[in-house]
Amino acid sequence: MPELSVRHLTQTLGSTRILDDVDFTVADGTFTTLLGPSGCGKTTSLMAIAGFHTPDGGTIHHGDRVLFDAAAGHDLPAERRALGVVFQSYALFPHMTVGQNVAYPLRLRRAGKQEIQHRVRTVLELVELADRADAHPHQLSGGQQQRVALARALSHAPTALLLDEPFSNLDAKLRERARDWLTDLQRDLGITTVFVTHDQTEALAMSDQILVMHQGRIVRAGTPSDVYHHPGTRFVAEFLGRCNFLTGTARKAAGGGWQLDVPGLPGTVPFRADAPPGDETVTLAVRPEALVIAGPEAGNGAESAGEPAGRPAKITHETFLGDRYLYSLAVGQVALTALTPHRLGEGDVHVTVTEDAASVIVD
Amino acid sequence: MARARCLHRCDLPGRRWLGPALLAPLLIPPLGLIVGWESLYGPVGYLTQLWSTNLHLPAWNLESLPGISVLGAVVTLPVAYLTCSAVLEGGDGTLEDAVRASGGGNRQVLKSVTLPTLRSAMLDSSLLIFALCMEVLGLPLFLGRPAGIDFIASYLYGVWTGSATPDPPIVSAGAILLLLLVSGILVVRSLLMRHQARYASSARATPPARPIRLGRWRLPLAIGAGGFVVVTSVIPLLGLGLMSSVTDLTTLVPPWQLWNGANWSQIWRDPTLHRAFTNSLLIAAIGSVATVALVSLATVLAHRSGFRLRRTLPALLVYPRATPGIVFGVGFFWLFLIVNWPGALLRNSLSGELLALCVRNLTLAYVVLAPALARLNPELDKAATASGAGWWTTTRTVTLPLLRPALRSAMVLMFVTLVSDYDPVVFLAKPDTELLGTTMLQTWAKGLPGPVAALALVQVLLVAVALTVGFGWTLLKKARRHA
Repeated sequence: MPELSVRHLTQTLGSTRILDDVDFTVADGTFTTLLGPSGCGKTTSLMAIAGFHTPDGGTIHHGDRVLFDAAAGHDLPAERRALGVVFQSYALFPHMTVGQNVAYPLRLRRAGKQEIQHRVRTVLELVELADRADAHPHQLSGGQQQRVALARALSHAPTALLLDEPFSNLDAKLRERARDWLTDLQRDLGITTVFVTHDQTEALAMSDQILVMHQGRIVRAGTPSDVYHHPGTRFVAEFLGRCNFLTGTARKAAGGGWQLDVPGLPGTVPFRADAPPGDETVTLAVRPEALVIAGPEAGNGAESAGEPAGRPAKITHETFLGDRYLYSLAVGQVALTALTPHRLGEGDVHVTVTEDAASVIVD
Repeated sequence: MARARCLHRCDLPGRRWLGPALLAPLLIPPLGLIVGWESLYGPVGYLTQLWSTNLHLPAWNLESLPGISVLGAVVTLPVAYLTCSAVLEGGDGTLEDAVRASGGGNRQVLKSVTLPTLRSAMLDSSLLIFALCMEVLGLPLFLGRPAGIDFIASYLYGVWTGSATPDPPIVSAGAILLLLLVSGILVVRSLLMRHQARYASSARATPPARPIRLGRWRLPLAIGAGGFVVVTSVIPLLGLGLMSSVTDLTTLVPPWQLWNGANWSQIWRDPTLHRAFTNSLLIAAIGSVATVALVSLATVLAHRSGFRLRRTLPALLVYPRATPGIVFGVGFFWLFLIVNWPGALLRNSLSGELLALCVRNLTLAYVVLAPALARLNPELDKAATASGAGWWTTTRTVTLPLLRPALRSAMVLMFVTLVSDYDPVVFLAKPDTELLGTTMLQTWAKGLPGPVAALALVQVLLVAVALTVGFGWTLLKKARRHA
């Protein structure tokens, strides 16, 4: 299946830039997520690909087909782009049965009756709803409706699939199942997919590539693990979960790495940097779960050996999250948050920041 | 006078539970209601006679300015009710709860929340009713004429029908004056409303207001409200039925001794009356289907398409109803006269009247269809387009099928209106092309109330049948779905 390439999409409304040089490629058969808070331009970008939104500038190509080219004045109508789109509200036609909904794109393409029947059955089997073909959308649960919407988007065998927050109407438990199920389906079909969400967990769990958008711009692109561990900016770091920020002055360390002196924090924080950080202050992002916490018992043991592991810290607040514990710690004069799988005992703890845990960000 | 009437009308808001019964005057053909009132409450009306002659109590005079105002108020009351209830239903219920939580009672809720939020609706309906009253034709013709009271519309009508040459210039001049006056009022209204919208509208979804507990006032108020509906709508309709079936309605002889089918057989035998019935039925049947078909397309075009002139369409669709009917009549008369082809074909023919009536009332179809369309999720259109459907295919396979209930309502409303409306065609109707309304005006002028009452009852029955068929179907479908 052909790749999808979006080049330099721009759109200005009054003085606001809705799309600011949005530029990305969705490689053949991969799953790309546009992630960002509401109003960041992610749905606008998706709708520009679908053909429901006309940007001021830029191009959109799908394989060797030109979907949109502002300079050439070329804007292929949405109905001729032949993509599969799943909308946030699912937009199932309430006056048609599940079967008729799924057959709709095929009927428009004047497929033969037998072909339609065969294809509808195949696609409904794919989404595990073959027995509900005669039901009307209002008789289905939210999860089933979402699968019908997907079946309709897939029934004419599109070469790319566009999904606009398809899980936002599902409850948490169902959302998790739908997520796994959709990921498996996408891998099996190998269909080039663009997914829009504001949910970082969904983005991290499903994507081959994540594009984080903010104020109409793509501020970070990469694999989920790369984007999570090396957010690059404070915005991305905060948007993708909890994060500690340590600001100080950097100096070169002996082994080729760097050390950060943070005012108020005893000791230095080791980190690696591809480019040498300047003389100015440097900010590091450290994920709470990346902090190594040695509990009071372990600390006592270490002390008895005369070798204290990490810096001493005070627990100022403890929050039970179910599967983990969230701690607010005071390390020197610096406040840090830490996540641990086990509960820490009473008393002081010791915190260590390893070299891999910290990554340089710009504000 | 009209203003006082409007203000009086708007003191309704607290009584929302009055319900759809208050809307009855909107659906009862206006001429039927007027004839019903005249036959019972008029100077020689049955109940007036009973009251003054038999009980020797001081009587009222319906054929006076206050009398006409009261009936005018009853006829236009649904407008005020609709405007105010729309505001109340869309209102923020938490505001009223906030007053209660602060310790305020019902009176305080009314004073500090309900009335202030209704202020713009009251202003709106006042102006609307004022505009409506400026152009009323039937009321002054039926009730004002005997007492020598003329309104602009009835004066113009009188000059027109009384003059030797058709279309004296004064009518056109008067029509333009009326048009300017009413347009002026509506412009003022839209200006005021635009200003108001800034403060009133809230995009946030809020829980609806809880009904106000009435306590011991519940029963008396309910009786009062019910009595109002009975006196203003139910009894006049009964009077209409009575009047159409007796030779003379008088307190001197019991009605059952004067029982007589003459009026009804006259409708059947008199070719003019008979034709008026068939013509009206034809116009209502063709007109409602054709208008709804056209307006539904125009509505979808205006709200769900990339059509270049789509933004001007809603204004065009709303304007006809805002124009006084009699002005419309004069306008169409001239249009058919000036435009030689196809004007010549439409002049003096039923199709010309059909056109005038449909154009004048297409706003009603739009008013029903536009909100229904606005409630349709735009993503449904997009889903059809993403599946590969163009605009027309989307409209045909998705939008219009989903609008079906609204289309049916619009068709019923159009039918009901076309059966009763008459003022746009008073100058267009010729022998052979009479309609129920115009024939009633002429027959009334001849001093024959009996056949008029029978014709009015025919109108009422047609409306009742249309409503039963239209909404009965919906109910039946609902019942079947639940079963």
